[in-house]
Amino acid sequence: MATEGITLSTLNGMIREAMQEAFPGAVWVVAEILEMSINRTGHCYLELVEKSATGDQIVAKSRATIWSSRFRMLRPYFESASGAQLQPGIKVLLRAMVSFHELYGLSLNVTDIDPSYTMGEMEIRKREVIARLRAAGIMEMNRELELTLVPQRIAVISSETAAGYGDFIDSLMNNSSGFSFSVSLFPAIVQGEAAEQSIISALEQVYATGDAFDTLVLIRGGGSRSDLDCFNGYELAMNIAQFPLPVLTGIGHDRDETIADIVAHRSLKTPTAVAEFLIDRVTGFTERLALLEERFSQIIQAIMQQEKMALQQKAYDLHHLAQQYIVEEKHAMELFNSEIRRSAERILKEAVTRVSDYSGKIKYIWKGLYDHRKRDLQMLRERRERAVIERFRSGREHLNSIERSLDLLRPEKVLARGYTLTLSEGRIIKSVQSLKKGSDVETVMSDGKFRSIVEKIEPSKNNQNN
Amino acid sequence: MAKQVITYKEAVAEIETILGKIEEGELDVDELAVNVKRVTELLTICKEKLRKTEAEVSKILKEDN
Repeated sequence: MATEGITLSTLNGMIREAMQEAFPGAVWVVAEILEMSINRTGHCYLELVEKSATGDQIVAKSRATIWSSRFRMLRPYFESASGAQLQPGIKVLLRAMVSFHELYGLSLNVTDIDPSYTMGEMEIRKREVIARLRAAGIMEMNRELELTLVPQRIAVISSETAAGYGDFIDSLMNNSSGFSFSVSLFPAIVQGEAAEQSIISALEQVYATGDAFDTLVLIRGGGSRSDLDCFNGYELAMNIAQFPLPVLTGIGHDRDETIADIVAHRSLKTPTAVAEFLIDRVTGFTERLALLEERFSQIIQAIMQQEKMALQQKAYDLHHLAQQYIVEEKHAMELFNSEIRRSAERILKEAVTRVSDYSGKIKYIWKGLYDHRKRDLQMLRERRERAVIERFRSGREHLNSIERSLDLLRPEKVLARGYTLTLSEGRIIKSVQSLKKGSDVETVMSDGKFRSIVEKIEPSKNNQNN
Repeated sequence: MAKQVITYKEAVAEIETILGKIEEGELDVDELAVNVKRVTELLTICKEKLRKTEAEVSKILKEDN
């Protein structure tokens, strides 16, 4: 007898009821998104898995749904809060209602996703890697390399078809300053699980070229944060850190850095930013060159100017000195001239004065002389006159005295004065010797005569010889 | 492989040394001309290098393949 079974729908209905009983409310579940799709109406269908601790085996799997009305809110919230895109590969903590549908089977109806879990999950893994790199002492190795002044030979690791690579090449090659860059692409997968190993082997190829390049650029064209997981691996970080060329990353993300960014020589947000950085560096160099050139030409000009000015100054000094000399000489001459004139005038004046003095004096002297002479003459004349007069007078007086004497000598006068005249024999007796004793003598007196006889004769002693 | 005669770094260092000397007044006017020529040369080398595509890299890669 054939066993009578219940219908599948009955069974499924029973399962649904049992499930509803077992999971009356929502539960928080940790899972990794394996697959994700969004249909035309906006509902999101997920394939959730749990992997083994080693990560190579899937140990649990379930479908999940986020209805469009919820998904429209949840997705932006999650992505902005966690900085990761809701997409396959990330681990999430979600709140879900366990639902069972007779037709579609078991599914988790997701009502919430905790962004901090995903964030924390990624952070924890990153921190572990960083700790290992620190322990190995290689964290700073690439950063300590010196990027050449003008990085022009560039090795690029990227996906050949990535938009980011195209942006990078465009920016670099069409730089407005016309700098030349030589870029060599080393293709690699930059997304998904194979990416890390692919990038490492590209690094090895670049390494093999020796010193052909100035820098290595690692770029990826956009994508979500969870896509960046391959750049958080220890293996890649170790390779980048120890790479002999400075590594520039342009992985294309807006938030936290990847480990590759941290160990790289310099990390930039986008491939375009890397190109700009390179151009800026070259520009910086040319600006430095321009500055040097300017400084140089300024110095040279300054020196030339200085020399020129020094020469001019000397010429000017000379000219000036000469002029000054001339002016001084001229001045001296003028001074001399006026002095001469003045002294000439003075001398002349003095001479004139002297001459007039002289003439006065001469006149004076002349007059003096003249007067003197005149006086002399006058005196002379007067003296002569006087002399003449005197002579006349004395002549006259002489005559007078003579006259008087003569008068006195007149006999009557002499007789009157007492004198007597002795006569003998009629003749005047003048000496006693002509007389003799007894001679008759007549004595005549003024008023008569008398006759006498000589009795005695006595001659005067002093008249003896007479 | 065409070996670079002088690197940018060396060029800039040399220019700066010469500039320093000139600024210090260590060079007289006669020496100036020689140094002006050298600096001009270095500047020209740098500028040319900046804009000339170097075939170096592609050459190396061809050698490797």
